[in-house]
Amino acid sequence: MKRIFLTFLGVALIGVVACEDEFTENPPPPGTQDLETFFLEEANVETAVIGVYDLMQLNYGRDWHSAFLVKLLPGDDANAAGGNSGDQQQLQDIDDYTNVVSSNASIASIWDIYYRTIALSNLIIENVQDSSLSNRDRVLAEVKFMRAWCYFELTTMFGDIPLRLSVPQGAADFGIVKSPRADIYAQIESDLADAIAGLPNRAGTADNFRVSKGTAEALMGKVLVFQEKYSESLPFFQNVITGSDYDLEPNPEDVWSVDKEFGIESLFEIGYVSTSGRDWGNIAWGGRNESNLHIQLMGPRGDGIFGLDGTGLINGWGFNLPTSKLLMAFEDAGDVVRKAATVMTEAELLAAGGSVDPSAATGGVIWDYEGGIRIKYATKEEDTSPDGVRELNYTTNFRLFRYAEVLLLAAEAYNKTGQDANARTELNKVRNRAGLADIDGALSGDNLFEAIVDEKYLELAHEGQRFWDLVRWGRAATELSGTGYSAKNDLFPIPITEIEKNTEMTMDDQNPGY
Amino acid sequence: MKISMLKTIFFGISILLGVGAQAQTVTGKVTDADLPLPGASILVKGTTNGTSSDFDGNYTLNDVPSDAIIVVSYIGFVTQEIPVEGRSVIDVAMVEDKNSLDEVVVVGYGTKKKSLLTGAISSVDEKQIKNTSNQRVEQVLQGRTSGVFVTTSSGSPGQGAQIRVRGAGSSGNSEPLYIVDGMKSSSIATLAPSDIESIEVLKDAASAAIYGTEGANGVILITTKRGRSGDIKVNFSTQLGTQFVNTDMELMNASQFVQYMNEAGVTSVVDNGYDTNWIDETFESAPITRYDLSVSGGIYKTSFYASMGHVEQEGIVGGDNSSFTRKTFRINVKSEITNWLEVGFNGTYTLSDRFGIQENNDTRGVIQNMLIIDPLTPVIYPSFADVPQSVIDNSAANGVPLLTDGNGNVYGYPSYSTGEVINPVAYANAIDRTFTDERQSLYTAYLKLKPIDGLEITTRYGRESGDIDIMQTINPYFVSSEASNTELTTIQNVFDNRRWLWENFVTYGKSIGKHNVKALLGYSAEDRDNFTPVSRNGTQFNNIAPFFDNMTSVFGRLSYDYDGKYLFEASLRSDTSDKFPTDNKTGTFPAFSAGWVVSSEDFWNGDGFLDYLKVRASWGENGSRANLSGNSDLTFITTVLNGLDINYLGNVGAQITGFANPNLVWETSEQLNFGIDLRAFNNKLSFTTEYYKKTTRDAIVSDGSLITPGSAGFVSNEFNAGTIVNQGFEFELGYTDTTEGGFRYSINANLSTLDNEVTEILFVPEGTSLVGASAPQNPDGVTRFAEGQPSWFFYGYQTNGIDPATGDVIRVDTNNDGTINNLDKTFIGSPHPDVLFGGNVNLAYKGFDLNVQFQGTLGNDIMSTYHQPSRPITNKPIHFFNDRWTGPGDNASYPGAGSVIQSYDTDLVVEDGSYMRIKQLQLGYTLPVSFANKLKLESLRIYVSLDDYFTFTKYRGLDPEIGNFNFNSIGVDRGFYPTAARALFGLSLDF
Repeated sequence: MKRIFLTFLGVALIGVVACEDEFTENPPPPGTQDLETFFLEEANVETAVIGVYDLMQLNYGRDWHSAFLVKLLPGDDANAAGGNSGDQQQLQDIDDYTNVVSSNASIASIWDIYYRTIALSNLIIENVQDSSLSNRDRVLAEVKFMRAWCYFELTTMFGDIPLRLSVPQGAADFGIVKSPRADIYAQIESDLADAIAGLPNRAGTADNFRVSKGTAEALMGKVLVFQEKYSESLPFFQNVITGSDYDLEPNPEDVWSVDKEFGIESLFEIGYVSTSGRDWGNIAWGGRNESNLHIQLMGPRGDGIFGLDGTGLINGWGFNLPTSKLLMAFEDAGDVVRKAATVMTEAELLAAGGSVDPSAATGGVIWDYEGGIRIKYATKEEDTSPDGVRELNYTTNFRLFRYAEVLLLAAEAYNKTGQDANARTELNKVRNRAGLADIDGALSGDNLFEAIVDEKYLELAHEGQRFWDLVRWGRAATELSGTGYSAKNDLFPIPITEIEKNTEMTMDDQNPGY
Repeated sequence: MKISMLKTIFFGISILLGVGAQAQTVTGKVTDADLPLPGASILVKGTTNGTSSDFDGNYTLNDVPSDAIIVVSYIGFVTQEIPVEGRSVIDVAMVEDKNSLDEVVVVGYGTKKKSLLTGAISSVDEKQIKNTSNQRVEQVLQGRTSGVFVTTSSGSPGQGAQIRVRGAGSSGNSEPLYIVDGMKSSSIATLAPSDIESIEVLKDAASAAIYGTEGANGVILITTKRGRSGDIKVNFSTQLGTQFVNTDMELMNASQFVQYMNEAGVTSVVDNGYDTNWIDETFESAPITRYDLSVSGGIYKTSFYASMGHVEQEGIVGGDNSSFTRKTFRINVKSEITNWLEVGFNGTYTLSDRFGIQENNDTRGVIQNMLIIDPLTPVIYPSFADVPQSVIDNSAANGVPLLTDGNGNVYGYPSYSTGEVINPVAYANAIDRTFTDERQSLYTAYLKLKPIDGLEITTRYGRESGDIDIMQTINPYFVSSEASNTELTTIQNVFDNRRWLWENFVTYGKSIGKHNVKALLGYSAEDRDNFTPVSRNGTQFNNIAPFFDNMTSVFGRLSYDYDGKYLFEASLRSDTSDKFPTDNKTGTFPAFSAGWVVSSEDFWNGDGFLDYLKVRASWGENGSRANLSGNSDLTFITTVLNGLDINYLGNVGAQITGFANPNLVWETSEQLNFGIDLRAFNNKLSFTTEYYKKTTRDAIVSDGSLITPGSAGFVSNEFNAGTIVNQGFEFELGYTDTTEGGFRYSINANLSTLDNEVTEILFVPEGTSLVGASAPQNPDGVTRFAEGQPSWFFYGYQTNGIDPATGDVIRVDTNNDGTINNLDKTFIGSPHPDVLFGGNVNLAYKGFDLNVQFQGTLGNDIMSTYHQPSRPITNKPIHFFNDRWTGPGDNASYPGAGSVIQSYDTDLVVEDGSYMRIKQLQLGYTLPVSFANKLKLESLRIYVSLDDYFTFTKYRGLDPEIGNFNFNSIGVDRGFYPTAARALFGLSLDF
């Protein structure tokens, strides 16, 4: 008996020791695939490309830290607003200029996600460029467009930045020096040239959300205009304008409507859907809701402040109100149709049956309210799912790049190269669609440029272009005087987290004034 | 004739075999208090001829010379030397050794005499546990031993505690390893204190090194009760009581609040006739009951202990929406099948149900809302006519019902506070309902073989499993845009955890002369699987990947002593874990310790007041892999992130998981320990002191974003982050005596000092820190992990008073760059106490006993983060009003009302958290035995107890005894659910 037991134990001992190696081998996390083999299949590569689009969707709509608001708020078209002067302080700070700090969470968030998008693009490029996959050229073109887009946004907002074109192999590769903006632009142009060569026309794209050759050409034109390479930019704009892939929506209000998503005017658009059925329990703070939470964030403040009867709007959290300057500019331009698609004055709100009650607001003052609410990207009932929690299921898409902007950029380039007749032609297309008459045919030179500036202010109000145009035109100081703006605001601070963790950067690399 | 012939033959054989004349067989029974004592050693003095008593205490010893002396010994009992004097039957009644130096303590994979210990081990035994009124094991440990710091995670019923042995040794989770009856247990919350025989805390590395990779944060060994053969014993005990909050915290009242807001320029706030004391209104008294029943005994060669326990506790907030019920069942069985084979089984099964309110949240917690909601809001409106029209309209517009109590009264909606602020009484009762249903089982089964004398072979299999089902529902309501829910929401999470551990080890002990040697050699295999089969938010199913953890280990230990005077021990453990990169899978952890019992030396003058003196030293290394998820050396492609699918407009997307770190090594904790044990005045006084220095190297941090710049795009996998040093002194003092008049008293006190410092941080550029706990609208975080500082210290602006001209907070320009910005944020406090102390005083006379148990800390800070920078119309503790700046020229300690938001990320919200609390003040009465016997009882004790009632502190918050759920948020007061004071009546019966 004793012997049997001992023998049994002995066998057991040996058995366990023998299979030890296998026992302590860690299986890969479920739902993951091996990086080594993943990119050997076309379908997997496409999945990774969707990952890039997904990051763009995250970045432009991430709850309190979207690239959409970070780009927009320094402009003189929009105020941060919200519940009160301290509501989402990091957004208020960007709107109010003086307290923008290097630890601003929204600025850090967009920096990180742009670079994440770039990193995923780099990963795809590294793994695909030497392959013989059938979709190689189109995939390379598509992700190079994305990389160019991200670097363009980054250098516009941050100036000289790290230029990372490969995937770090580990901690030793994390440090990287800043590259001058000129080098960034050179890389963007190179990537866009590849994108133009490899992308299909719009009809040839596999899905309506994908970028096309025209998108890349238009972005190339924009990047060149930002470098004041006006004559070089024109051929790219002309290709888009003479081509048939893109055109203006006939009615201004349709541009941002749910019915015209990925419409004729849209060169690059980020889509949002309500299929994930968000409610207060499953809302994913931090991103990846698939719905556009920003619309709720930017709805006219409820709590008895704004009554919205007769407007078809739903109350939201009150961010992104128009400035009086913008309201006035519409007034001065005699702009009625486009204005109705963009903003609504208090008088118009009351006339529609709505109400405004400052006494319901913190301290009896509606913070950042200057006499009007915003209609563009507003909380429209028809844009959300009636089945779920309405506030959390907006499907409104962000039109990041549209044909009207291309026309105005082209007008600017024509004007700057002395081709004012062509400039007026493109400008008038935008004006006519807005229900405005042609510009005075005698306007030319700087006066025509002024007209383009004014037109762009109205056409692209609340779309995040205004401030960065003012900066490159050297007009920020005059247009924003008295707002707290100073020259340091021309660039955002490089996030402190980057400077701290990037071994190749020091505080000396911080942008001036921060 | 025949018989005498046989005798002659035997006699002759005896002579031939050389055995001394008149050798005989001696039999007998060894007992302890009339109960059989199995396993006692019976030896013929001066020979190796010996045996041990069987299960019934019987023994048979052959070949005993009639003039021999037999030595009967058993650990914990006085050794007896009995002359045989020709007897063939010798029964031995053993007497318990009152000198606790011969007490036995449980160590890793065995037991050891306390007098032979060379490591630092603190014990809590059954006697100390027996009379406590604690419902939870963590509470039992609190304040009882030096070097053990127990902080309550929350006072909410059923919530656990964080236990730290000798400080936080890691940047991440620093919980000690729990071993229950030899089996690793992920929690001790499921044990009933009444089932526990003893708790040992292995504090130094040498004691814990036998547990290798998991010993770095100390080891807590729990042994549950066993049955003894003999009569069946039944114990029944019960406890009934009430719980209530006992705090001095005060908030501004209505008139103060109106004045404060008006001074802040918010003139819209006016007196509306309501004046709600939210602390009084939110807390209520709540009942607590506990029943324990146990049966133990032994039949033939089998002993058993079985018990059932039931605890029912309501919360002091939210009533039955915040409650805890725990049912525990235990069976321990041991059987000696033959004299060389023993089998045993220890099993426990626990069912617990818990309802919890929203807590530990700096913007959406019940207590947090209680602290900030304006006092001008009523708890309920006096009548429906008083409900503001806007409240009715808002609810109607959003298609949700009004918040009402059970009687149909409408709860008050904030009159002035905005944003997320909700009436806390409504929040606790009418909005959220979180139900946690937990089933935990833990069992071990073993087989012990004793093939030859001194050799024991044990194989032990343990299994732990837990099923936790958490169901949360949120009712539809609308208080404000930020505090609303327009659809009934349900969230469900189900967790399944499984672990098995199979250990095989051999021990061999041998004494040759005065040389005593004991050796242990073993190996083990462990498999841990955690699944989340269901994680559902409404209709959204989240994909949570299972977690697996496998490990194999080889371990050994050699103990040697010479005459109980010179002690030496060495141990070694080698662990191979799947959590480490292929090249670094195996970690080896050595330890050495030595002791010298000075008082056993010949030169020691036994006449002095010192009875016993031992000096000892130990050194060892341990590991920790608690912060590791594995696969850190690999990069994968994933289509799921944080449980959510990567998806763009219906198309599946992919990303990489993180950058590989092939260089990851084991986190190693090295510890040096020196100790002195002494006893004096006829062993009435006992004293132990320790000095230790624990250095944790290559501390593993799982959050790779802490070293990865944003421009890298993705984040690094786990990395080795740096070095943490914990050092301190520990003192334990006890004095026990009985006067001639029968007055018994004992005093025990312990004190520990702790110095925690992060001495080195790798990878992260110099001068930077890891960001820990967050606070509302504060991107810098409020706790940090930085070189030269205590781990997870408080981070913010230092202040230099209030500007007398403006009432603004004067922030210190710590980097002297002429501007005040976030780069000036620095150390503003430490959550770690410099000194921990605790103790108890026991007084007993005749049937009465009085027990006072106390505990406290010195030198730790608490930081309040429930304030809302973005919500100016919110209430504050009264000192913000009393000590505020009121006008130019005022030298105030708190800012003017209009500048108060500036104080929220400064040292103005950091306070000294030192405290002393009377954990228990208990008066008991035990019926005289004679009277009890008349009632057919063995004993009967009744008691009344005030627990956590008296607190001495300067802290102005709700409760200084603040813990947290998260390692990086210790001392962060987000609106802490305070520990309830309890008034209890208890009864304990033995029959």
